[in-house]
Amino acid sequence: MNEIINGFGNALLPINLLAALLSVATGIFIGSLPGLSAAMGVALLIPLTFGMGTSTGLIVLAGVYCGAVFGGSISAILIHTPGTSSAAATALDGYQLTLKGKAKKALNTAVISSFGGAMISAVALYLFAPPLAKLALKFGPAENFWLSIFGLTIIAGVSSKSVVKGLISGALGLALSTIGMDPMSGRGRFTGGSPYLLDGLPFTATLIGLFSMSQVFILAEKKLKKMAKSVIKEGDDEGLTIKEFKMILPTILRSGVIGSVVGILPGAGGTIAAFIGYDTAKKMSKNKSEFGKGSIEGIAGPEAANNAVTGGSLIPTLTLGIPGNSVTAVLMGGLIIKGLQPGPDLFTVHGTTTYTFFAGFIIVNIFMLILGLFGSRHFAKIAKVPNSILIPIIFALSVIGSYAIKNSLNDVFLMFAFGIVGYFIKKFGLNAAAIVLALIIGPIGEEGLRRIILMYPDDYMGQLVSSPISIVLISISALSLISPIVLNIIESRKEKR
Amino acid sequence: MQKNNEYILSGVFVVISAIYGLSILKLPTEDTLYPKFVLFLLIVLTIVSFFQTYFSDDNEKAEGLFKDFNVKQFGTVLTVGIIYIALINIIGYFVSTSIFMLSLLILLKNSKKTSIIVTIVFAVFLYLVFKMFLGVPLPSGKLF
Amino acid sequence: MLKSLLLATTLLTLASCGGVEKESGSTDSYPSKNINIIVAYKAGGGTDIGARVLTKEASSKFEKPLTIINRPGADGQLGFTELSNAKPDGYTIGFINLPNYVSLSLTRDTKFNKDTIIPIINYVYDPGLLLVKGDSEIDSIEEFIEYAKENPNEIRVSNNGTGASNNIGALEFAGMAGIELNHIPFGGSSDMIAALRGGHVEATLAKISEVASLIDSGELKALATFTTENIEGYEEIPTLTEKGYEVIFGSSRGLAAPAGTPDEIITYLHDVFKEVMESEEHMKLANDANMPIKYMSTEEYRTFIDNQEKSLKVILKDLGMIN
Repeated sequence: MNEIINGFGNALLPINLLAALLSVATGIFIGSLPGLSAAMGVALLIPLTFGMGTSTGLIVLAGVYCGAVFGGSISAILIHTPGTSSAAATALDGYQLTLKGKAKKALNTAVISSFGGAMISAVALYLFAPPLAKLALKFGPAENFWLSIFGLTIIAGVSSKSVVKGLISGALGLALSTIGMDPMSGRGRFTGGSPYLLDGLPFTATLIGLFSMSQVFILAEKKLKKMAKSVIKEGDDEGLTIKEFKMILPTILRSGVIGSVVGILPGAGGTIAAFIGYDTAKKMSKNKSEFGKGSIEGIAGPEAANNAVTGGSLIPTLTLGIPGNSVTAVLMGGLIIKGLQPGPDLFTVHGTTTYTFFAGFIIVNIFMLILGLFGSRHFAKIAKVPNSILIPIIFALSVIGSYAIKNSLNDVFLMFAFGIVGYFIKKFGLNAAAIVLALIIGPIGEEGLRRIILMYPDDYMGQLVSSPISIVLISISALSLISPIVLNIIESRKEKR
Repeated sequence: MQKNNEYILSGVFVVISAIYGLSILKLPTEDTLYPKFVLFLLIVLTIVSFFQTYFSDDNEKAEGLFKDFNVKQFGTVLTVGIIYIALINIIGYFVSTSIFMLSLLILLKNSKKTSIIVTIVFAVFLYLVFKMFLGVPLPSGKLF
Repeated sequence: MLKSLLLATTLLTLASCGGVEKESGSTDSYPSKNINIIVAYKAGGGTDIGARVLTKEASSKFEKPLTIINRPGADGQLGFTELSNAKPDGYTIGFINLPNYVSLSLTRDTKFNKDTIIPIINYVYDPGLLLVKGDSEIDSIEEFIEYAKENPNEIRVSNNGTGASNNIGALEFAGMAGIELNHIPFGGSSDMIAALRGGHVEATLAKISEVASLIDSGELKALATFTTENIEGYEEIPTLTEKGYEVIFGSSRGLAAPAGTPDEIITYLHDVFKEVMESEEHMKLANDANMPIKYMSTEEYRTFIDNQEKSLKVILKDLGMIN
């Protein structure tokens, strides 16, 4: 307890407060640019933290991380191009709200939900870190396989229009995910003989192409209005009302828990959490039909989840040295460079630093909330930028964003190609979000299944369903599949009476 | 969407499935189990979507997919974009980006003043953020 | 309109040219601009951390900045290719990892091999160990082999990819000991160690820097090391060699330059980095980060690489991985 209070004391030192504020602002900025991701931001800032004290440096990294996850939703909402992949689900309803002139409401919903999710994950971090970390270890191949099956059932939920189109987009995503190295034999699959695709499609470049570059083409199609968009109704300056807040509170709490748990699992990150959050919110909502047309629950669901991943992913990283996702992998490197080995030592020998870091995590999110709420009025003005200016800017940002990941021009070409693909996807009513979800989730499932078969060649069916975690996951997947159908039947029976 | 377009979509997926299937043939047999499964999904869903279109009512009132399609504008963006990307490695990132931005802004009928300001602001912003702050090495081109 | 476009373009061109310094012809003024260091793995990984630690300490010795460029992909293949293809003017160097560098060049159709680079200095040597869970019933390497003989194909050993160096090490060991193990590939060393810790597999081959704290805490037990001499600080762990199985496995990381780089530059870089490596500040940083430093001079490193290739050729042929 002492340590926790000490931690807050340290975190409230002026230098740390300044670091927190600046880093969150930077993070929000980096996250909002389509093309720059949270992981990239953290990685690029690590050298900057070398000169700082350990706690301060860690607070900076936390600030950039949390800020970036929220920042992605800003561009997702305003210009329908997610700034980070975890905001892909937010774009679904967020942009619709912008078109209705309610950009400020959407942004406020996003930041409040993000804050709520992060706080819930902070609770998990403080109170339940060791047992939750053990959960991460228990996830073996079988559990990963069922996790991916669960993820795939979400695809149907993410398709607001045609379920078949959503599914076929998912299948396309699965096919794309098979490009790369066969996970068991190490041999190249569909790589055309070049080493470039051996690691599979470069995820971020593909994402930028599918979401950002495609938006450029969509905007370029139709005749551009000279000045401010008349499509957007003149600014609703309304933020979130108390009544609306009460309505989304359960969603925030629920998604916060979802995100914290998903964050703990190595290999599953903000994007998957966001989609599960969105889907769960939709399934449990009383206003299902609003989803896809501008439902604030449709923003709260993913945003609370993806920010909850920030705290959740820290749990296995700090306690076990197993990174919960790509950003924490980089963060862990930053810790090790400073001589902080993940593990029990972190909480005892280096306890002061660690608890200062946790306190910093909370402060960073408070700053994010403040900046977000105050900034939303100004951010919303971005929606008024004429398309004629947006087109070249988004284009140029997509180029540099896809280049900066691996310093590779090939990624830029690939991004451009996927931009064209993404354009046609949008035109023909397919579902880019489903493709992305399948791209991430597919390999997890394939590897899980094939490993289990390798590990238990005689008994793999039995092994697949043996652990308690597997059974839980199978049940949720079944529920996820059946519940919409069952609910539909109940609804139509009600109406018939 | 009009029925014809739906048929085109199904057709595209037939082609995709065919390409995927043919590529599977090139793989050594041990590695093919999962891709074959995915191919199966693709084919089944393509057939389902085809029949769904076949049995659906023709939505004649739906907007044509390419109504109001501004060919000139779209073509401009596409062409300028391709030239830009092709030039990055030849004349360097900053120069090609600036030329790209300036030309596209003007071609999209922004005022000259706006175009120049936006280009300069953007170039400065890029320089500060990427070169100074983040230290990302940007392509410097063969000519410079 | 044309005039303003022309003016703007000229101004921007001049501005961007200002960032590029003049090429230096002679090596007297080396380095006259910043030196790029290619790291063939992603930011935050082991090689990357090592690179950042070394360059942080070394930056004070160089007038111009040292820039780390991450070029991940294909287990390092992309970065190694770029290093080999770079201009040999001393302004691009990179880290190479052995045995990966050599095994990739032998098992895949790569554009690099041991002769397309000039070794400068070796930095880290991370020896491998055979590990089981701390609470495992198996207490010694002899018990391990005995159990494996009685239950062929039952002991599951995780590795970080089929054909990766610890997979090769495991196969070599199994071959020599006459046992059959079930090798399960995972996506990376972090996953492979986590699989052991979670009880999903029974054993793994990992490097000391990755598991030192786990051995210290007792969570994992090391049965033997894949070295000729005991590992410093862990002398109670027997070496496989002393038990009769001469299998060496470990990964080394060092700096290299593209072939054709002038000798004076190589010597200069070697001398500067050696001084940095041996400095107190650097050793402290390296110890904190659990990095096993092992210096090798330019000639020693060259010999090391050549020997690795020779022995790998034999091993890979025996295992049927190359013709």
